[in-house]
Formats: sequence, C-alpha cells, structure tokens
Amino acid sequence: MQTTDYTKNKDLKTESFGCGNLACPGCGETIAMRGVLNALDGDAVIVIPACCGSIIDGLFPFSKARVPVLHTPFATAASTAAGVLHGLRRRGNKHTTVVAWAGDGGTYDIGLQALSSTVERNEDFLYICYDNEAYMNTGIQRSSSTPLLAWTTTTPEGDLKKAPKKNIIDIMSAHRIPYSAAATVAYPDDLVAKVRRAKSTPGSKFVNILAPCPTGWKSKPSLSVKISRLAVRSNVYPLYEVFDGERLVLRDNPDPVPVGKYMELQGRFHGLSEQEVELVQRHVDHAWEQLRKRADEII
Amino acid sequence: MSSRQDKNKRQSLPEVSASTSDMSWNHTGDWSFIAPVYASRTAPCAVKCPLRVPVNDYMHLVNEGRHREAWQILAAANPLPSVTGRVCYHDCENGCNRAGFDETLNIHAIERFLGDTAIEKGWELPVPPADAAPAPVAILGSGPAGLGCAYALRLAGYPVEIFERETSPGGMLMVGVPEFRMPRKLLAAELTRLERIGVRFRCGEKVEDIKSISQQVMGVFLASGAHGSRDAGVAGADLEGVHFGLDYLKAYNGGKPHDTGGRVAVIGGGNTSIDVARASRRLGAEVDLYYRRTEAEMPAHPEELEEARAEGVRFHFQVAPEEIFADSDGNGRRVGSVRLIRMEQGEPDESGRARPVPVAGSGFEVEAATVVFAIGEQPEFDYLRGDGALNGGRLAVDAFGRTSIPGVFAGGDIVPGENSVSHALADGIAAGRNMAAMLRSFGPENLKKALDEGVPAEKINFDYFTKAPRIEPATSLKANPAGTDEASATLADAAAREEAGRCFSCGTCTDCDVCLVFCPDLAIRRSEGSYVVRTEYCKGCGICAEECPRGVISMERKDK
Repeated sequence: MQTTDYTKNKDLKTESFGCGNLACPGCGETIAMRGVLNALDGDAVIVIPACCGSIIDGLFPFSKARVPVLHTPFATAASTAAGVLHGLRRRGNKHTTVVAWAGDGGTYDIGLQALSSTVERNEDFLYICYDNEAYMNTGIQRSSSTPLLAWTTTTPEGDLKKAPKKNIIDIMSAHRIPYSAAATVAYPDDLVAKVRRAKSTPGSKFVNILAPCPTGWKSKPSLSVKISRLAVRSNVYPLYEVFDGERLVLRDNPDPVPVGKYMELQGRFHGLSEQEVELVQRHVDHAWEQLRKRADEII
Repeated sequence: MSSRQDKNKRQSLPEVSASTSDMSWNHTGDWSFIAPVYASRTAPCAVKCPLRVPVNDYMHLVNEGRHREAWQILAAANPLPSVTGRVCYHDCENGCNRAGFDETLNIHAIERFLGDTAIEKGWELPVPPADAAPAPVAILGSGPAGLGCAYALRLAGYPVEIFERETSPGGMLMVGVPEFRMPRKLLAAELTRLERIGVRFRCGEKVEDIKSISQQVMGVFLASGAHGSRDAGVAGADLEGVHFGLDYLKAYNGGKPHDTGGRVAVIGGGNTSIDVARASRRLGAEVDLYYRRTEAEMPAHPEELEEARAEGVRFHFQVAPEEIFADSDGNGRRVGSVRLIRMEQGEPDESGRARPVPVAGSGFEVEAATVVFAIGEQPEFDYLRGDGALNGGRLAVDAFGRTSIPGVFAGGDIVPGENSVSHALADGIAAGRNMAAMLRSFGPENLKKALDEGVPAEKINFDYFTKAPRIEPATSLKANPAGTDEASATLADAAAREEAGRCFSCGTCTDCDVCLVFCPDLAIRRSEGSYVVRTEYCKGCGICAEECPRGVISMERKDK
C-alpha cells in the first residue's frame, strides 16, 4: 500500500494546502506540493520562481498554499531562499523550513548557477524541483531535464530530443550537500519520508520530484499517478537518496516493467519505432545497473 | 422373517386350516424402485395463456356457483377479465384437451361472464398494502401493458402514475377497439376498479421528453404502444377520403366518424383492417377488404374474419392497390375509384412467407368513396430523444423487460414479440413484478442503475496489492491416501485470516485514503467513515477513479 499517514486522523481543513489552485486537471505539481507541505506540517516559507508553480499557486494576493509564498525571477529561487533564510534566522526563527520550489527549467537550466552557489555555501534550506521535464508553463519547450527522444514544441517530430535527461542528483552530489533525493508523486510515503529527513538535516537539501504533466506529456489526466508509478517500476526514474554526496541508498525494483509500458501512456513518446524504444530501454538498463553498482544500500 | 416364522411356530395349530393372521409383515414395496407421486400440474390452457391464468383452478368453482372465489383467482392473474374475455384471441382454448374428446371448453365466455358479473356485483380487487415508497413508478401509456404493470406494482405496494396522452385511459382498447367489440361502460368499470386500488391516471399529459419525469420517479415503464401508421406509398393517397386505419377507428370510436361516401375499400389484413371494415358496415357503407396475400396468411383472427363476413364485409385476397383516382363527378378532390392488381405467391421473404408478386396485366378498377389503409402500426418513441437500443424498429428489452436505459423498462407493442392485448398485459405484469422485486431487493435509488455485472478485473488496481499464494487447507487424504477420514480439511484460524486478507474487497470502499491523498485539488474530504467529493473544486481529472484499488469510484457527469 502506498498511502501515507499524513491525512489520517486529520481534518483536511488543517492541511497547509488549499483548494482552488489553477493547475490543469491531473497536475503532478499540486500532488507534490501537497505532500511536501503536509510533510513540513505547515512550518515553511516557499520561494517560487517563474514556473508553472507560480501560476498554479493563484492570483495575487491569493495563494493555494497556507504558508507564506514569495515569487521571484526565474534564475533566483535558491539565492532568494538564502536571503529569506538569513532574514528569518536573524529574527530568531530557528525552526521554519525555507523551501525553494522550482520547475526543471528553473533548476536544471536557468536557476542552476544560483542553485550551485547556494548549496556550495551549504545554506540551511530545502530546494525542491518538481520535475515535469520541460518548460510546460511557457508552451512545452525542451529543458535539459527532457528525456531522450521525447517530443516537445522545440524538439518536434523528426527532431526529437537527442540528449538524455541531465542527472541533477549527480550534480547535487558533486556539491557534497548533506542530502539529495529523487522522489515522485505515486509514492507519497516515500516522498513524505524524504522531505521529513531533509527537514531534520542541517545544511542544503535537494529533492527532485518527478511530477507528470498531462498537458506537456500528452497523457490522460487520470493517469498521472499511474505514469509516475510506471516511471519507477520501469527504472526510468529510480527512487534513491544520496547522503553527503557519497552514501547512496536505492529503493530496489526487483520486477521491472519494460519502458514501453511507461512510454505508451504518453503522447510525447508516440510514433517512436521499436528500435527507438529499444534504445531508451538500453539507456535505462545501463543507468539502473550503474546505480545499483554505486549503491551502498539497496532497500 | 425368521423371527416371525418362529413366532408362528409357537402358536398352536388351529383346528381348521384357515389363516388367522395377515401378511402385512411382508413389505412388498421392497420389490420395486418406483412409486406414485402426487403433484399439482399445469393445465395446457394455462400454458397457452400469455398471462398463465390458472383456468383449471377456477372452473370447478364456477360450476359450483362460487363465482366470486372463481373471479378472485382469475383477477389475481388478470385485472381485466371483462376486457380480455372479449378481445383476447383465447389461445387457451387451443390448448384444451376436450378437443380430442368432443369440443373445446368455451373458456373466454366464462372469463367474460366472470368479468361482467364482477362489475355487476361491484367486486373489488384485494386492497394492497400502504405505499412505503418515496416516489411513484411512472408508466407511459394506459393500454393493456401499462395497466398490467401498474397492477403488479400496486399489488406489491408501490405507487404508480400512468401518463396518458389521450383524454381517457385505455390506450388501444379505448382508441382502437370499437364499441361493438368492447363496450366502453365495461372498460371504464375495470379501469375505475384499478383506480380504486391506487392506480393513478394522468390523462391528457403527453410526455415530450422522458428525462422530464425520470428524475422524479423510482423507475419508468414504457407502454406507449404502436400508434404510428405505416405509409403505403400509393399514388393518390392525398385525396379526401383516404385514411389510415387507426385514425379512422379513433374518429369512429370518438363518436365523430369520417363520412364513408357509401363505399369503403379497406387495404390490409390485420385486426385493425377488420375493425375498420366492421365499423364501416355500421356506418351503412358497402365494404370491400383487399389483402395482398392469401386468406390463410391473414394476420387477423379467423373468428373476426367470420364475424365480418357475417356482417356483409366482402373479402378479396391476393389483391393490392396501385393507384387511387379522384371522383370525376365531384369536385375532383374526393376518392372515386381505386386501381388494384392481382398478386401471386413468389419466393419466400424475410418473414418466411411467400412474397406477393403482382401479376402483369391483371389490373382492374373498382369504385370507392373511401380508402382506408390498415397495413400495420408501428411504435413511436420521440420522447426517448434517440436513447435506447432498438431491435427491428422496436425497443430492445432483456428477459426482465429492461431497456438499455437504466431504470427504464418497456413492454407491449413497443417491444418485439406478438402484438395482442393479452401479450401486452402479460408484458406489463411481468415487468411490474420484476420492477417490484428489484425495488425490494436493491432499493429505489438502485433501480435506475444499469445491470450490475460485478466489478471487472480491469477496475481493480493491482498496483495496490501484493502477491500471495492461495491458501488451501491441509488434506488428510494426502497424509493417508487410503484412509477413511474426511478427504479434505477445514482451514485453521490463522490460515483463514490470512486467506481472507487476500480478498480485494472488489467494489467496497475500505477507507484506504488513496483517493484522498492523490487528489490534486483537495476536492475529496472524509465524512463519517466515507468520502464526499466537493464538486465545486473537482476538475474531473479522474485520478481518484483510476487509482481506486477496488473499483469503487467512477467518473460521472456532474449534472446527473
């Protein structure tokens, strides 16, 4: 069972996440933020750069989140979060978690410099990338998180993405930050546990949350959770954690499904030949083998 | 036996060689493997009757003069004996075994006698229990099918409302069957008796759209009959004096008959055509009936044919109309004559009957001032607005009388099958009983649900379950193959619990919170051990329905 304890014995009114968000139906970002805010028990400040999340949150002065939200320019999520952090700590607040909440565009590409320098200083904050694998808000342009052979409006048919997805966890690990992890919406127990672990760890924390996007992935809104689960079960998106840039703990997947099962539910992969799917399968298998070799612990 | 012989030996021998004891000690039944068994069996008349009226159960009561008891048995199966005693084709009599002895029993005459006697004496139908239901069942049409359904539902205690577009109830019995076959006084008496047990008629209310009433009722029974006339496609049919059979009869039965002009040509071979012919005779006209097939193929009942003949209707077989001409003497708008052509039997058609084929050069003209086409009626169901699966131009129904529309049943002439008063009445009674049984079993709110086939495997989300082998009890057979112990064993407590844990609980909400956790819009809220959907926030993404492990959730239109 993949349910989580955060809703048990709790009236929904006390959730730090409200109704009325502006997301498309079936959006993974909202499921992710709801899990994160509940894991943090509402004691958080969120910094959101330009991304889907800044739209979804609501029209100023309204917000779906029941915690303070700061909107910042595209490239500055991490550095703004550091500023908020220092302000809070100077005022004597030692407990509130400062969360930078950015999409993959604002993390893998545009915000990478600010992210790198902020975590290099090991600022005590939590950076969450809700990863929907393209610039969805601006019209589904490719990002460096877009997977191999995926369709986007800038990698159209006949010119699908040739580079595989950038490994952001590896980049974070290279900064030797205390905690980085890969999570996704279909596994709320795992997601909540990782966020809570991050909260209790001092220094910079990074969690990448794969968040299916029905609009950009050309998938049925009802299948967002299923696709998220298949990403894990096909090894396309392994769930793992890296402590201090070294110790890797991997969630095992003893009975993987073929990547085709994951890809067939998404229009962005439609029209791929058998050989192309096979190529993706080889990439996925290789990455999974490498990860298993590197893992200090497989759970 | 040996002990009995010893006993006999001990008695002193009698003085005369006469037996003094009986042979009952000898169970001769041990010699055989068969024995007689008594059972009440169905008489062939009841088998032939669409309503399964147990004719044989009440005949002896009539014979003994116990008419009321007889009528009660009859009326329990048929609420309109005075009607059916007249207009039913009494197939019961075709089953009568007296046919092989002397002559069949005149069952319908006795039925009619009992029906009329009941009206005369004011006998009432058994009073049904008080209504417990929150809303009525709506019935469209107050003909025999609608009345049968209403009767069955009322006997089960459910409220009914019959919508009738005409100003008085009875359906085809009122508009189609002429007074000389079915006196309106008696029809009205049987209808008001039904009213007295709570059947509510809403006459003059035409239902334009079934959806306008289906929301407010527990269920719907469609019994709107076949009132649409089939077009013959004969040139000249737009002349004055050309009518459709049912319209002609409606006018006649309504007391405002069409002017016959003295000579009527009836086209058709069904019961409507006979009624038209007989009604026309009563209007003083010369009547010729033209049928394109042979007499043996005529759908009309032979008895009616005979009566019509006796009344002076002239029958012409294997003749079909070609064209209708205006009366040259008059204003040129009224029918003057009809050109007909002789037909012969061709290859069999879809119905298996020989196809009537025109005989070239055999055309002839006859005088007529009125031409009535009575070549069949067809159902009309505009009020369904395109809903409902069809079968050969009629509404398709299953064995329970259910249409493809949830909560909507149908019977009588709008569904496939034989078209007769008794068959319609039987359809209605059967559907009414089925509706009552379903209401009792599933509750009013569930009658409208589509037939439940159970949660299919596709609706179970296997991702939420872990695989575990099926647990079988240890068998003593394996331990001791030749033993006489019971060959199988009962599960132990722990094993029973574990195996029970493998149950998916298909279709049952176990309060697992999956829907709650994954809703991107927080539109699902826990409420008294279950969940409610705040539709004002639900964007309809369907994640809850897709993820539900047990197939409890489905996405439906918010306006339903």
